[in-house]
Amino acid sequence: MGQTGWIFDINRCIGCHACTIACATWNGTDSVFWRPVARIEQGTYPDVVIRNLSMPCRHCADAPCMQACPVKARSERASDGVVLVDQGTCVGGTLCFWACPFGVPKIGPEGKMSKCTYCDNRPDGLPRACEEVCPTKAIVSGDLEAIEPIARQRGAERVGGPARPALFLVR
Amino acid sequence: MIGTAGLAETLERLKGAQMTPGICYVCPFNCPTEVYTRAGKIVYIKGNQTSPNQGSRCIKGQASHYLPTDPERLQYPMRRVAPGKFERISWNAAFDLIAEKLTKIKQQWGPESVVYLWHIDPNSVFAQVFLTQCYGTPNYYGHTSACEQDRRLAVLSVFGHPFPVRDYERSRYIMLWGINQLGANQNIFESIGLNAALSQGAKLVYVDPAFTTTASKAHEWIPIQPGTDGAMALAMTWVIVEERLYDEPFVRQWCHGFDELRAHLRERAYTPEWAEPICQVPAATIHRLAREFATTKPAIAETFKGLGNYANGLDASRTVYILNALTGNVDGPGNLVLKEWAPLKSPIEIPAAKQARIERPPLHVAMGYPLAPDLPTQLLPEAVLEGRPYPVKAIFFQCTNPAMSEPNTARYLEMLRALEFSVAIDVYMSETANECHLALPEASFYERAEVRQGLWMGPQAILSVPAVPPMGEAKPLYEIVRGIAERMGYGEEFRWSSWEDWARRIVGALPVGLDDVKREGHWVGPLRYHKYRETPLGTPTGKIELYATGFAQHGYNPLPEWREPKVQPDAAYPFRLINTKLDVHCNLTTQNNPILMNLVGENWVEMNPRDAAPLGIRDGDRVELESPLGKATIQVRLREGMRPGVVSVRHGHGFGHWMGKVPKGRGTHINPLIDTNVNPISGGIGYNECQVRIRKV
Amino acid sequence: MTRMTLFWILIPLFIGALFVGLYRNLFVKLGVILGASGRFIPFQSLDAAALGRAYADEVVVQRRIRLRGRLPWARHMLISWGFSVLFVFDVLTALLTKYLPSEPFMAGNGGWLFLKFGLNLSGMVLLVGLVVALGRGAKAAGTEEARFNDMPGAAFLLAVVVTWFIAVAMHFANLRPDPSRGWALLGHWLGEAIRGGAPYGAAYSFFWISHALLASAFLAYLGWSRMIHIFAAPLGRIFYHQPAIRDAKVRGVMEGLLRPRGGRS
Repeated sequence: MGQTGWIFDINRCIGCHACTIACATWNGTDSVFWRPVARIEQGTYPDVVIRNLSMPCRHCADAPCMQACPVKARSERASDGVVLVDQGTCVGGTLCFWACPFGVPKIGPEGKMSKCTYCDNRPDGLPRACEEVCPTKAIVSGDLEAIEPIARQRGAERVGGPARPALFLVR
Repeated sequence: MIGTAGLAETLERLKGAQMTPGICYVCPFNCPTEVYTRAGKIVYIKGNQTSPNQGSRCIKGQASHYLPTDPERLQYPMRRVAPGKFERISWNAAFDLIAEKLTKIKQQWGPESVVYLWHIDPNSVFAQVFLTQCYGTPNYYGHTSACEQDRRLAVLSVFGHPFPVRDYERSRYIMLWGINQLGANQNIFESIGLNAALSQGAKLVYVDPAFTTTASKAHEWIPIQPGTDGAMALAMTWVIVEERLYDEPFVRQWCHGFDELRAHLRERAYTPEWAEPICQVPAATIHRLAREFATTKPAIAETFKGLGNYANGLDASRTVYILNALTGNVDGPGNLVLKEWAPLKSPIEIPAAKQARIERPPLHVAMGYPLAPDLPTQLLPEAVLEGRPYPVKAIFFQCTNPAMSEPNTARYLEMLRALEFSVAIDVYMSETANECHLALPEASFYERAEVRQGLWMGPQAILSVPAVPPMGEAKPLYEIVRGIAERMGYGEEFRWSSWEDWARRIVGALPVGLDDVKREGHWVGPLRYHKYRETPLGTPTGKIELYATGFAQHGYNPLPEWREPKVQPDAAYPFRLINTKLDVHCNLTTQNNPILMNLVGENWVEMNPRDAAPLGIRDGDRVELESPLGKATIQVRLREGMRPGVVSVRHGHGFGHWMGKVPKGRGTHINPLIDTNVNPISGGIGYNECQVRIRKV
Repeated sequence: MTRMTLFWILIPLFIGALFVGLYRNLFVKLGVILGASGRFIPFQSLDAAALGRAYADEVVVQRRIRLRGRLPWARHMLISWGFSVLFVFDVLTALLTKYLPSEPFMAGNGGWLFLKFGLNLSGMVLLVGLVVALGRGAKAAGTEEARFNDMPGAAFLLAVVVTWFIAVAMHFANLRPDPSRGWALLGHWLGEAIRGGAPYGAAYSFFWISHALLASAFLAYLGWSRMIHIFAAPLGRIFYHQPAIRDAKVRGVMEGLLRPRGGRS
């Protein structure tokens, strides 16, 4: 298995936050939301648009969070590129948050940084918790090579940037 | 076997969890669910994978696992000893008290002076059987007047069916009027269908003064002048009739009253040019939309609270449904489907000899609303306080909290305090329960069994197995009713050794047995379209009625007409206040949930920056809303997606609970600002009949 | 070479190592952050009052740990405050005794009582904290709680503190008894306890040099281990408590992602 990641379809997302809570429930993170959803309204009346973006960790191929951690608490799993935080080593410095282009890592009430683990306790064939619950099927997970045809079919593009996030986005 | 292949095993391995089928009851759409528990605790929940919602949930349901663990729930029967002070009593004492009071009230005032109000719980059928067949009161009612009274009566009068369901997926043209289908008015499987339709290139037109989530996915947003949808719909009808765009064979064969409708439209000259200044929608747009709607098939025109929240909502809603009827878009693929019910039976049979005789007409009829599909609850205080149309002495409030949700709050509190006897059956000590003589803890939807109609398009039965034991001494409603029934001589009829006994009776006519339904969590029958070709509709003529013969019989205008909303903004109160829901909150169960309150912990009023600037109001300020009836302070959010002249309180009816640690002091309850304004035929509540002035505080 | 000469060679060496560590493990990383996200961070909306409040909250009072539990909070407060105050007194002592006559200090009587008191008291606070922390850490090994513990760091620091107290005790035991030395608290009490084995010659040297080595090595260790959190966490967290800055950073990126390809923005 190569680099795993996501497709996210902004057109389909209705900003319902079901993914946020499914993730929080599956991972037992209570009120620390590993997959928050942002809602942005733009334009002037009556030409208005609303777009929603559900924002988990993108498991970047060149993760800046890994480079920024002063105690080297972050690692990238060789098998699938999932970026993980070692909860024993982390000291809650928040530098990973500042380095992450998407502001993904969150500090928990207990002082450790945490973020999406790609449901690493679910076997590979199962959908991720967020994906499973989404009513508009805006989230697709999987090996990037395997999901690339789906991404192309939906008109998604790989998000750019030096971090190389593992995310195809349909805008 | 339901459950995502592998998920059940994963959960068993990871958390030692077992799965039982459940039903979510946060909102009335009752999604079938999968509940994973271990050692009496819920470890995970998701939608039922094989049901029409395909494993999906909304955020409210997904966060609801907090409910069985919330220590602030009502756990014991509580009897009021002084205003706001309760003492714990035993169930026996509670049942005895209820039996005693019901007997006394029956002797003194008659059984019809007892009213039962319920909201979502389908086990209410036990209460219905007991009260209407054993005790003898006809006054068993729901919450429809706050929810969809106008819509319900509109579809009943046009289609003779109370519950059309939207087959969005196969539709090519969808026009939504005041229904935020992808947002707060979400029904998961319909949202899935709507999304599928959009992916396949269907056109979505959305009519609403606010730019909601649904608007954001629509091809066109019509920011209509609030309360004027009826005029636009009538004008569209005029175009379809005059330009002969209606489905002539369909109308001739299946519709009643076309000639009368055409004459009426001509006589009133309900043209797009007439409608334009009223709705502030260009006549050319109305022409175009009418043509598009009539010529793109299959199509759906649908409405909900956005129209019903005005006193003119009934005729406006009827007209929207008439648009479907005229164009032959009824009960076909991609249309409003007249839902076929599953052949479920009552769990309880009362032998004829023991059936009570109902002596007086139901309240809604006596109040002068014979066609109201449900009780016009805004008129209930009159019955309690003034004995009009006849005295109401006792009310049961099950899973309903009118002290928060009804407008004219002061009058409702006055009514609550004047009742001879009142019982609240709920999961929390709600604001209404706080005013009752007795507050009984009901088991939450994770803690009880249910078998009921599912809300999919075709026949569907859904089932819930109790996942965890009830909290404290909470009881499912069927046990509560049994306790009362036993003391009133109906113990024989309300007898079972386990819930499966009565559940088996309910599903007796299904082609599968109870165990099959328990395994899958639901049963689905074949979906049939165009059923009106085989069976006459439930209207007096058996046909689709463009001319409502039932209305005529009661002296109402059988043809839809245009009337302005009752309340209009003026110089003193220049803004119309509308109120809408949040997709994160619903009823009583969400505002004591810290997870949901962490996401949205306070409500707010939305305003266009164009209106805010002259008043010196900036985003995030606190403002005072003042109507002729009252005032409230609330935070403001400015957005371009709001029609100028209109302000919208998000989660209007029922935010700002004052019971419970989590919501206390958070948010604003704006119902005290809204006066009583109901539709004269349906009794539906006009929540948007409200004018306000705004100033920064 | 005298012990003091050794001391003044070790200190710059290990402090140099500390700075190299801080540079590699902290400043370089701050550079990465500013390079990647600096343009999204509106430094002009820095709320100084909020910075101060966050500092008080996270660093002085350490409320976050207290919310987790009173005992972990007590342990961490003892260690962090014990260490901080001790460090201040260390620096003060080193400077004062270098540039002013140190004889009154080293005589262990009358002079510089406040230094002796401060060093010993903060050292004792630190010692208690470390012992309790290591004891609790040993019991919690292999559990969820273990992720909050830094056993190597604590053990290292304990060695530093223990060698100091033993050295001080031996030093006092070598001197004539003096009641005013009571201000030296544990150092004095230990000294009196081991007076019988005096004079301590080679043993004292051993503990002196051990302490000097361990203490300087620990300073370097601060820059190369999880202990770096004493610099990184306060810095990161006081900025994290600036909602305007945090939100602006997130929004800046998001708006870029949400802009449609061609078409209206």
